[in-house]
Amino acid sequence: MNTTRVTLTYKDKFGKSWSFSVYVSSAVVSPTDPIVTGLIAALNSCLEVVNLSVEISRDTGLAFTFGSSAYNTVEDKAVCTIPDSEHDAHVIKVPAVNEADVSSGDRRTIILTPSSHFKDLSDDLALNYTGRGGQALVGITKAYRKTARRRSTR
Amino acid sequence: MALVLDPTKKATFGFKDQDGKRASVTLFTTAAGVDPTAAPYSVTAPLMQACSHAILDSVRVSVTAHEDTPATPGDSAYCSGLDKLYLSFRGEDGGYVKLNLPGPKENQFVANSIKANVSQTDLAALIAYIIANCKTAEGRPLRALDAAFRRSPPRTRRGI
Repeated sequence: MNTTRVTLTYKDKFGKSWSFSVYVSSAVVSPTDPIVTGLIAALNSCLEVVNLSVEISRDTGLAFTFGSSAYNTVEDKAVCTIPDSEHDAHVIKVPAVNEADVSSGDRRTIILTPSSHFKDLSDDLALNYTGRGGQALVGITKAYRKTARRRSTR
Repeated sequence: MALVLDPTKKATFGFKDQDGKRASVTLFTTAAGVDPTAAPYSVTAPLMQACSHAILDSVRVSVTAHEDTPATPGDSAYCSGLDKLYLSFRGEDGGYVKLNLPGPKENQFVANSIKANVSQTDLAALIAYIIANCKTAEGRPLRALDAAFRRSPPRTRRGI
């Protein structure tokens, strides 16, 4: 997308928060950009509510295709535990886990051997991603498949 | 009063399965840049896709800043967030951009009317600023204000 979405969150005197979004040029890459702060200043003079936060976001669409797997619903997840440098554990849940990445023995353990898909993802997470506060991740240490919730037939 | 940047950016990878159900994986990073088509997001996307049978169809990168000392909300006839100032703008591509701004000041409206007073100094400045700096979702410039009026809160059911 060639736009940046700016989501502004406000609070009224009753303590309730309200959000709305506008689109600006994709040249805006920071919530403290003068275009955003100028917009907040213009809004502040017209509204009784007060600004709490600003989020800017950019989207892109991708063109991957469906793979082939027995676990073809997003509810079938690979639950991955990723500790950070301060030993706090973070969890990500990869939806519709590939059948080939699940141990054929117990149908539950995710394969984390070198050059497996999840090991490659783990290496990338350790290299490029952090916890919410910026703590470095050490990679996936534990991963298992969580099956889709069964639905009642009644 | 100042906007303080969060220490990390948020990257959300959106998946869709063959039934159209959606799920997402959210990661945090300190990497520079918010372009979802650039590294590290462009590197992670194929790795994430390799682990999943669902289609990875979107990546969103967002950065948030919070006010360190928010001001005190004002108090007037329409100060509740349920009261809205509705502004509609026409884009160059013929599309419309609609904004429902919560808690407008009372002086933004013509007396005894739901019409917005678009010649009021602050509102005129806001409208001019939005037309000059905001765009349609497709990135086309805005042309002109189309409509401006007050929206009152929805009525609640009586006797409950």
